Amino acid sequence: MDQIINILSEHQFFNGLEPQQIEAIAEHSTRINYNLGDFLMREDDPGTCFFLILFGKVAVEVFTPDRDPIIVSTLGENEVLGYCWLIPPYQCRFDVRAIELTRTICVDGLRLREICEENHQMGYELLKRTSQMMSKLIEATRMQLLDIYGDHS
Amino acid sequence: MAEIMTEPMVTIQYRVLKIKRETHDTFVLDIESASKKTITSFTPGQFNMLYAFGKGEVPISISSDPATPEKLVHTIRAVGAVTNSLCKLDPGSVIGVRGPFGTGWPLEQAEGNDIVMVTGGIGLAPLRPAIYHLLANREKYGKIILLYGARSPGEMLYRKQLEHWRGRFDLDVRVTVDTARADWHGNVALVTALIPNALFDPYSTTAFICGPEVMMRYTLLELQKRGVDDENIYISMERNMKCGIGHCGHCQFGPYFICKDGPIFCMGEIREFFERREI
Repeated sequence: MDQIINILSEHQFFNGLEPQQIEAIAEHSTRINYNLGDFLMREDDPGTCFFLILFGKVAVEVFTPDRDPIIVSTLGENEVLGYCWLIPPYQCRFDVRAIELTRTICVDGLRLREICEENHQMGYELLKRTSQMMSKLIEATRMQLLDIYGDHS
Repeated sequence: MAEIMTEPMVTIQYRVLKIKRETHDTFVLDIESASKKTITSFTPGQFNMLYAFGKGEVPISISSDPATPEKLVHTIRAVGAVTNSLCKLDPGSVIGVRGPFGTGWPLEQAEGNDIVMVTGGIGLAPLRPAIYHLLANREKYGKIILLYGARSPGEMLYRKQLEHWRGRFDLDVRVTVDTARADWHGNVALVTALIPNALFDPYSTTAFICGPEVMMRYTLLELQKRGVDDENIYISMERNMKCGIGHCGHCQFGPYFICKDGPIFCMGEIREFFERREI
């Protein structure tokens, strides 16, 4: 538990949270390792958790029935994976697969959501951080949509 | 500094030695002089005007090693009549070459600093001579980081060379693509996403950027966030270059001509114009 508290305290995502808030999150966090090819999330699964990636790399994929999955983005060390634990309808929209040995801290989103409902101040802090993460994802997606390396002549 | 041609509007005949398809629309053209006249030196970042006889001329950056100027390499994307014609040449064919033109990357000025190169798509081609120079003079620089973005794994330039560079212990090469199939184990993200985790000292860094202008704009934002000063950021600009010597005015960019005052500019010098939408 102390080890998880230390990691969370030093992580940018939790920067500025009170020590007791960090402890509350750590209480509902577990270290989980994934081997190459293991899935961290599956499309349509309930959004029950989010991950801090400590080491390795994961691919966010879209499954297509007639061909191989398409990787839409990858996340690596120090990045946070998952917002569906906090945003209705609390459902995963993509597959997420480890493409290397990946070490994570998995935070129990169901329990954390309950805590956020009881403690709005903490809920607001986590919502701000998650929104910021989503805003970066939207920005990156818009840039990818531009297809800047394509032939626009 | 590269030698300036005494007759910049007169082409020198060059013979095609080899032509290699690099991606579905990009080719690498190796040429050497077919006459007594030859280009004796060039500075990394400079370009030549390549003339496909009967079709027209296009500005193409030199992408070969500056240590061997007798054999020039140009990486060409077949997107128009002239470039399509150049990409269909056979070994032994003759083309016209004028150059080298323009400014180069400030490699001597950057000595002692970390070097961060951020590039996307065919933008890697004008940086390749700079990479050859940096590696040949490795002891003069701090960390050397190459961040390269491509549309997909199949559209990466110089893939084998990137793998070779990546295998060196003195060069940090990071690659990303915009989209990929499940068998790709690299990054899928914009090249700008590689900047926050790159290990360099922002206060002693010289950055070279080359790629689509949108990519360069967002790269600038990320470098600024890291604390790299405009005076230490250099970009390679592109406009419709025709004469190569600042006479015709086709490539005017604010008070500058890209062909003569550029294509490599210090961001501190052009920031005002780079951010102006009308230019």
